[in-house]
Amino acid sequence: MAAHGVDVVVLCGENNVAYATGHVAPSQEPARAGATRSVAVVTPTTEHLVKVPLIDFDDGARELVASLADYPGTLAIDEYPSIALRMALDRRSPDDARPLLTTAKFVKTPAEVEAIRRAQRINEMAMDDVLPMLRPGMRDTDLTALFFRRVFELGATGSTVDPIWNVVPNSLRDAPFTFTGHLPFPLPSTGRLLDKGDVIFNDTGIDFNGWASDYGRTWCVGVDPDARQRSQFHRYLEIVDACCDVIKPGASAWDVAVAARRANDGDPPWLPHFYVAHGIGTESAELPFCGTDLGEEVESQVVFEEGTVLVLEPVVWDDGHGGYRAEEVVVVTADGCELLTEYPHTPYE
Amino acid sequence: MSKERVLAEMARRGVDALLLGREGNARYVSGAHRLFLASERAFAPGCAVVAETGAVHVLSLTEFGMPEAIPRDNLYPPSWNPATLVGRVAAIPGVRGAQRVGVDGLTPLFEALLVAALPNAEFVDGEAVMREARRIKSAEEVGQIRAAAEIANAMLTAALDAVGAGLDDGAIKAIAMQAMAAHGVTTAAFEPLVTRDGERVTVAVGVLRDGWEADLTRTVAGPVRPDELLAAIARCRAGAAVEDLGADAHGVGLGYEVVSPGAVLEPGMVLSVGARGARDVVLVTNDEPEALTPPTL
Repeated sequence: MAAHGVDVVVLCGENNVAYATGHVAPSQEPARAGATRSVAVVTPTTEHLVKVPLIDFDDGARELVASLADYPGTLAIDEYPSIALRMALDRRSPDDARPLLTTAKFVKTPAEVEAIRRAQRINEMAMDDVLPMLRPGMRDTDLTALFFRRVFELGATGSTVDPIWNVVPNSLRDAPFTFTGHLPFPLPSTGRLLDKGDVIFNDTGIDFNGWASDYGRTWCVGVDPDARQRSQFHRYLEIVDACCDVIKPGASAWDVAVAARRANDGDPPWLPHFYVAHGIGTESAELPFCGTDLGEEVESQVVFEEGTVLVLEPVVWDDGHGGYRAEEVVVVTADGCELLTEYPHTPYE
Repeated sequence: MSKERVLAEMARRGVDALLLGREGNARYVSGAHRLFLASERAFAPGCAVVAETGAVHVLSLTEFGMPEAIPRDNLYPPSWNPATLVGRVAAIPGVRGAQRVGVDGLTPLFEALLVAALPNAEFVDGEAVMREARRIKSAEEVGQIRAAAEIANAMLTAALDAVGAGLDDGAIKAIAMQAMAAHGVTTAAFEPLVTRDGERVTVAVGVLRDGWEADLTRTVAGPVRPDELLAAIARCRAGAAVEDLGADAHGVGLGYEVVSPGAVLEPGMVLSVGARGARDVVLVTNDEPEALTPPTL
């Protein structure tokens, strides 16, 4: 706040409130989460939460703004949940709180890294128990049922995303239309029956006391990966290694994209609507992003520090023969990076 | 048809275009099923409705999950660059000429970009438009909520069996979530809640089935619907005000719906009504209120 010349920060975003105050809202669908939100009012020396259930209406918005009269000076806000709040705050001419939040969130403390590691571990243990149950004739939603059972038994406090069991075609010809011409990943489950030989890109994420996990692997239904699929997996590992070789304090987000592309004969080994890596924290995907359409000019300015946490998610695609995708969580250390988890890539290894 | 209701409400309020960030609003007007993500989200223009053309445009990489009523030409792709995204929205036919643009939220960045892209536009409350359009449920929509209530009932029944078996709170939640997904529904309205007061155990569940919500709460051992809840349900009649129900009440539809305490009930409104450890989803009719959630227990 000091560096950004801000006297009071008003946080309406659930993940920002959790980050700044430690107040963790229950895991809820977006409208319920918005309607039951707590707003955090943060100054350099104090912080408190305000419960404003009717922020959509002028009365509720004005009530919140009236309570800010005790905090003069420059006010910054992360988002306006309603136009009513935007109007009510007009006279304070709010600044954008996002730049200072981004700066703060960019580096995780050791305790925060441990919280992410813990969330990740719960997610992985649950997936470890789902994989042996996978067989032809199941529905994709049956996998969700098994995953939910295990992940909540293990203490998850929410599922951040409708669990993804995306059966991918061998050829993009057989995929639904996308603007990029590449894979329309991730698609939600539909109750689809799984066939022998189907290749699933899975992607699940949980919340554990306000911290997110992100798990992705490729699974094969009822068969072992063949030689070609294993070679895709080996290429994936080469790309991950190449990324990890450049991730260290002082490296930029763009450096990771360059390293990934170089390890894949010059072609970007990621889905063009995404990135090869993203940050993780109180949100399952947050800054920094590596390899997005923001491009070199923006991403080369984003420089890692010790404590930056990244999720690498290269995709090796061999059109006509499917592909391999997985995710690895890494934390930037003093002189390189460390895998936060060393979960196996069954059934590929 | 929900799109017609939105367009009619836009016409009534003189709103030329709507830019919607709230997923329930976008799904209501478009029918689009995009990937569900839990938790509150900051505004981004994920759906646009244009009065002049009567068209709905949806932010989506793919046509998967899009209804037939949304042709490929009415999709616009995502970008990590907010300026690029606003450029795509501004290029939608009818948006640049819109005088009054309704938005259901903003961020400082999107406000700056939208003001720059649409310098002649006045930004007005789009949530008010959507709240009014979504308030009264059609028979088909009530059917959707009723179907969601069946899943909530299956979920709660499994959870209460687990309570009876003496399992701990984590196991009860896990079994409830498993039961929901085993019925083909993979999105919860909220993480199941288990609270204990001496011997009494209260379990609350909520589901989104095809986006439509039903939530349900029961307490064991206790009455299925305590007298306070029965009385509140009985008061859910046309003409009553929400604040006079004597219960904690909010709207349900495509997710949670905020209602003003002074809002007056009309036939076709659907409320989640809770009192003393029990909660039901209730349809306001021309006659007796109808609980859409079953008794359970």
